[in-house]
Amino acid sequence: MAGHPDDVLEAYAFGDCADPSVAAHVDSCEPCRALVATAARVAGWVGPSHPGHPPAHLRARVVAAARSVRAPSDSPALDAYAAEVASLGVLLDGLSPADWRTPIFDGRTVAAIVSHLASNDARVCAELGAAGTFSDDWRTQSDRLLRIVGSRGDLLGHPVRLAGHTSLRRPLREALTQRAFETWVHHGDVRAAVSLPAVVPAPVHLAQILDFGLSLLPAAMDAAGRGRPGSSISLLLEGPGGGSCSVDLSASGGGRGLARVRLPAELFGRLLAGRVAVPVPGAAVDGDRAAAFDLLSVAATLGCE
Amino acid sequence: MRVSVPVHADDVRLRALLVAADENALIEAFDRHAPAAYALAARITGDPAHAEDAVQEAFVELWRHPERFDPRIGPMRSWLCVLARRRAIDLLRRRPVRRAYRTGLAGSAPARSAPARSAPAGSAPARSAPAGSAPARSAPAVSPPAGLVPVGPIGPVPVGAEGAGDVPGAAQAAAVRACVRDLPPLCADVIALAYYYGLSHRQVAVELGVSEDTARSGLRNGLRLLAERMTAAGY
Repeated sequence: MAGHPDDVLEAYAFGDCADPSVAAHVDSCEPCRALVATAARVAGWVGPSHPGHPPAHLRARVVAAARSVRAPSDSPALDAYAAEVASLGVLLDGLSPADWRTPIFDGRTVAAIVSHLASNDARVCAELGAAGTFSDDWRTQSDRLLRIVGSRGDLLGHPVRLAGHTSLRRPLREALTQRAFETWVHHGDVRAAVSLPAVVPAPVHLAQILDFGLSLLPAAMDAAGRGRPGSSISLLLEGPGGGSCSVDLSASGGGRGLARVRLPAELFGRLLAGRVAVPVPGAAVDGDRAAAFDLLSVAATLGCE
Repeated sequence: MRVSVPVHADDVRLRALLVAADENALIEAFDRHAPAAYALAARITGDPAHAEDAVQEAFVELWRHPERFDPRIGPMRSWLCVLARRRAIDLLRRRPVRRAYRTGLAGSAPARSAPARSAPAGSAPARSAPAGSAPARSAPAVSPPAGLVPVGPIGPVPVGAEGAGDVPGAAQAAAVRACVRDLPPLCADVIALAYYYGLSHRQVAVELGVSEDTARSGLRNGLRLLAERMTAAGY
């Protein structure tokens, strides 16, 4: 084909040709792009078509070589966030252009919500002193946060302002749990918008998210003018990720148990995100119903947006 | 409203964990994908030590820059094969000894006594290159006359050779081999030389004793046929 880089199109598709002029041509020429796409697809099939047995020692050798160029993370603090990033990434990769334009709430589309997530991830990166310009590409921002924290375990105690309408600062390890929480919540928003069923974090990650929310509750009760110093409520969260605890109704301390509240752990997680109305269908209350109502109402304000 | 279900959820998950420097993710990726990358590198280099080097470099690259793997473009296994293949070809080209190219792809029809010398019957006309076209821009230094080694009959795949429990991967590899088996011999030879050894159209033509146009058309027809057959098989 006159005018086309005909001799190197397959080499380009196989990854053997890095000539930028070829890349530019392929990007702008439909016939060449189609030919390269076919060759690349076939290469993707032919490459792994041989079965083989690497020698047993190769795995340890590879791991040792990898450690020599980049130290592994030794902290589980990123686990919940990384899991939620992966889960949302799978969903986003499958969205059509029309899906991205689907409204979710307050006139905001799927694209706007994902950009909002990117913005909050970027703010944590900025608080850690990470250089780089903001991109509203969510994957770029989540990659940055994962990489920074994965390589700087010493930052986990660094105070970071939490997302949302708050000036509260908490150690990075807790802010990461909040990032996991917010990523899960907006993942759920997107799934609902495109008519997919909800997903729930792994039990260990859900428990971590709920513990984070519960730790904010006493101060939030005071801030909302509903604090009850010297009082507590017993909370039983049922199902995977659940457990039981006593929640102080004021940051100044708890004490006398006023009520027992029982509800599914996953439902309490969505309540914390403000995705469930109070009174909560599915929650059983014994004792002081007004105190329980206040607790659940304040809990529902802890989501970032 | 349609939302496709991606088939690469594990790749996306592993990528995120690798970015977070999770060593267990590297080990999981190795266990899943090293058999394919190693087999490819061993086939290209014909040397287990060089194949190990190529696989090591591919996984170290994955560990160092997992962000460069884009699951939207293709699966992690294919990306690792791209990396291992590139390194294996580099190692092969550095060898001072005479090269022996193995023609034929995995799954090719049983051994032929000599490489095909003519275009496949019924093949489409070549997309001809301009007269006097220059050698491929990315072409390696022209190799010394090579010994062509027809590939031997492909025996049954050893149990577990494609990674324990990797049923979809094993099924896809088997489908590729089945599609290759029906390719015209010249097409399989040309794809093997271009893909496994990174040879340019001109070098493939020299190796097979055919015209450059025939080499080019054999490659394109072969790739097109494979793509059509794999698509028809549901891939």
